[in-house]
Amino acid sequence: MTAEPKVIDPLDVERAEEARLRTAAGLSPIGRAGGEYAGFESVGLPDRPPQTEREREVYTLAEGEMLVNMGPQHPSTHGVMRLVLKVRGEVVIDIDPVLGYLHRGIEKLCENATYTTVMTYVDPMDYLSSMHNEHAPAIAFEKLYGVQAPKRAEYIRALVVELNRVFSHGLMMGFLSLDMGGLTPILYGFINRDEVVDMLSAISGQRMLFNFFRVGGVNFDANDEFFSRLGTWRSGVLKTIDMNERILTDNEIFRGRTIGMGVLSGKDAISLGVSGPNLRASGVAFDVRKAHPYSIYPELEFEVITQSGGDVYSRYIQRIAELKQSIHLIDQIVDRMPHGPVQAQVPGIIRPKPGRAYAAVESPRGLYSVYAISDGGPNPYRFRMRDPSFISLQAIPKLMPGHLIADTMAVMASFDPVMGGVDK
Amino acid sequence: MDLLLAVGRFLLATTLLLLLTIPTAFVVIQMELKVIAQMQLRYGPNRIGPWGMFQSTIHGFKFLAKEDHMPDQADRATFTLAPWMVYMAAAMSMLVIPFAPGAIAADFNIGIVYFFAVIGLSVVGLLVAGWASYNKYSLLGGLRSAAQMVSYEIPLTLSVVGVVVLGGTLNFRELIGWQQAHGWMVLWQPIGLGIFYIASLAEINRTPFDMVEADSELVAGPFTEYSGMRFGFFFFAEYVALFIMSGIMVALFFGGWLAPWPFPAQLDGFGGTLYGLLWFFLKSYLCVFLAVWLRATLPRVRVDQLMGMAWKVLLPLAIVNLLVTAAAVLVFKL
Amino acid sequence: MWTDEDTVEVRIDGDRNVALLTVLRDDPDLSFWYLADAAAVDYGLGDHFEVVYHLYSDRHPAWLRVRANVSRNDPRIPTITSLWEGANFHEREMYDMMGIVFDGNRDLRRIYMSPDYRSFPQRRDFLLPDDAADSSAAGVNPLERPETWDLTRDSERLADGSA
Repeated sequence: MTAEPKVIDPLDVERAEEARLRTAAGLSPIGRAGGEYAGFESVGLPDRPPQTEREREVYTLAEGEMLVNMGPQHPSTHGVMRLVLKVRGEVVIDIDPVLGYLHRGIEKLCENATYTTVMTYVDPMDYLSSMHNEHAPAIAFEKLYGVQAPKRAEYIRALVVELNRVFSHGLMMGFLSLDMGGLTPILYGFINRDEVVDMLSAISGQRMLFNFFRVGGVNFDANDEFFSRLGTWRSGVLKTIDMNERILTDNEIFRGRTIGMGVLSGKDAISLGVSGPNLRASGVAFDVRKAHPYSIYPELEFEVITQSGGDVYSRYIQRIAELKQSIHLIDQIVDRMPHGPVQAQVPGIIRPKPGRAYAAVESPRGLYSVYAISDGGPNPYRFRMRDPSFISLQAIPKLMPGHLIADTMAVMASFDPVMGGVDK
Repeated sequence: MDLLLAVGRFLLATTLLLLLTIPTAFVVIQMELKVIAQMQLRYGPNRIGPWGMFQSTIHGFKFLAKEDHMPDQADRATFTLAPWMVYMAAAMSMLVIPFAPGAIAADFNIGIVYFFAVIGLSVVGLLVAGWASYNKYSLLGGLRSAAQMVSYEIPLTLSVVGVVVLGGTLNFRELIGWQQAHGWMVLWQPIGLGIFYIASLAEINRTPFDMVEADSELVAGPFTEYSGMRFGFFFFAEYVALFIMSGIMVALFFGGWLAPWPFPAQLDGFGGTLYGLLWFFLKSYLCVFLAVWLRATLPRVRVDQLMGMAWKVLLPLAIVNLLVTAAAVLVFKL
Repeated sequence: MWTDEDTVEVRIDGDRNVALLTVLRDDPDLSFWYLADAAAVDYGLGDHFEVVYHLYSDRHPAWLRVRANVSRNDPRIPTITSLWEGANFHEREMYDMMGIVFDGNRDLRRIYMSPDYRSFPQRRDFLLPDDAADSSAAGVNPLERPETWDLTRDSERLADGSA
């Protein structure tokens, strides 16, 4: 065993100090559950006092309140996350999300991987929008290395990215409905996804974690099978989307449960760092594709859509509108796609010059960005990803108090988090 | 001799009925699996038997084969009793269903009252299940379900009172006779039908009113701690109750065993019984199909909206319906 | 596509971050109203940490990168949750992964690792085997506790006759 110096947690030093002070004051140095910290054992937390002010706020129970776990094993779909709800009867008073069940240490892993291998590591982060997960590192590494992807590669990139957005938003409709008990729209969403994913497998070889982007372009060119599937899909998709969303958009029960629910104001959204359709549904017109254009988006014509409601229904309508917008973008891209190579001449193992690069893309969940630092070697020195679902989750404890337990699922589903991205 | 015959006939009828509940549950479950699947553009079970016909039977055997465990601190007696209570409520209420002329197990003069009294016993079963599980989620679920079922019983029975006032009898057979003479009750009491249908869906905890067993919310409500055949009882009782409610709706509003125009309404003798059975089952299963269709399509109503709807919408509507019906009966001497 | 000048970088000392970011956000000409990212970088043993903020303004075409120096011996820096509440999870992650303490953050707990974890995974000197002995599950499995290992050799057991 090596004799490395033990890492001292500075907060531990503070807590030791607190324990000493408590003992000096005659209290027990750590509180016993059942005494001061009564709620802990019922939700499976270890026997320890709250470590922070906010934790104390959440886990201190007043008269008539109860801690309830929406445990890591959800019947719902978003992944493994634990929500500790403090409820009084059916009304939620406070929420504490507990994360980390799906943490895989991707950032650290990428420090030991070559720049191309990083593409495989970032795929399973936000696994429903893998193409976006790869797009941001691709741009960042191209900035570091100083290479531009050829035009055709950029068009193909934008095409697959918009296709990814289409099926991700289509699935969100399904998840929102499933969390409220409507069993059918999710299957329609998956039928649509199946068609798109067959298309993407024709171009990239994979159905889900695509590993398609490379530094300097994309891996394969679009082939005949891809375009034929694209044509077949495209000719029916607008009608299919209309048919699928009609089951929810005008449904009285759905509207009754989502309109006016979980209202997030624009100012709160900006302060909380929410991005993407969630932010635009609250009225803030911030779309990375327009705000800080990348790839070929300056050449495409589209508007930034916003809604004014900020409630669950607005976020749903926003995603449907963006879905249709993506389909129009796909039309434009296919129209204008030039011929040419799909990958720039780049060596197998890239050694960029030392430097820093930041690249942000608009993923279906929001602003997905990569901050990469290179030290001249074959591996990135620091590879940092900012996932939008992670930050949007902070909105849940702000929105939920006052609503019922049943609404927690609806509000969560409207933010469309994907735990792979949240936990990295 | 007559007494012996009557007792024998009664025993035969009740035995047949008890035996009938399980296959009915199987058929309804199978319908639900296949119909919902078709609406979701997928096949549904298609391996067990031709067109997957025996899937629900296998579900039944699966419940028998599962481990039956009970939480340590659960109250043994009530934990065991709860599924029986719910199941018995469903089975007992089958006694008065008018399947066909001459095929009613118990032709009570107060059949309608008996039915609604017995079907309310399932509330007790759910409450007991929730309490006996020693689990706060089950308790919450049980309380929710009790609140829901009790609230919806009132509009349910009030809508039926309108039917009774028109028909002038509490006997199912005579009510069907009235419908043969005057036309199906749906023509006379359309609002009553609407209220009855919505309230019956809420009574048997079907989507869109299935907050009780909302599986995408916390946990499975009062049934969380039940496994194996204990859960099987709850499961089958729910689907039997669905069939029963559909059957009663058909009997009250859609003419029971009467065939619609242009078919002859009723035949005599044994052939008449079969003919009535055919039409009764056809109509009931159409109503079951409608309930399954609703389950495939609609999301769930939230619990406070559910209660609000019962007390603020259905109840006033049912009272108004009843008053108008009574006034009409008085005025037009119907 | 990307252009060469798409990020402007500013380097400051850690203590001045709140002041600078407040000015950046509130000044009407600058108006960097969106915090896009807050990250931490470890430059190795003997060097310093860095907390890097990326900001967006619709008046300026480039991202603004603010690199705040944090000393490795006493890794403390003021929190910016008073400016953007969404920085809370960023700071919790930076604390969890790097061990940087944010003064004034009301909720500085670990977010990915379990609450009693004792190491900081993204530091350059993070070594896994060392850390396992400190984890909460250490010693629960008898295989991890040397005092429970039966080290008698088979030959000794045979000689005893207890085989």
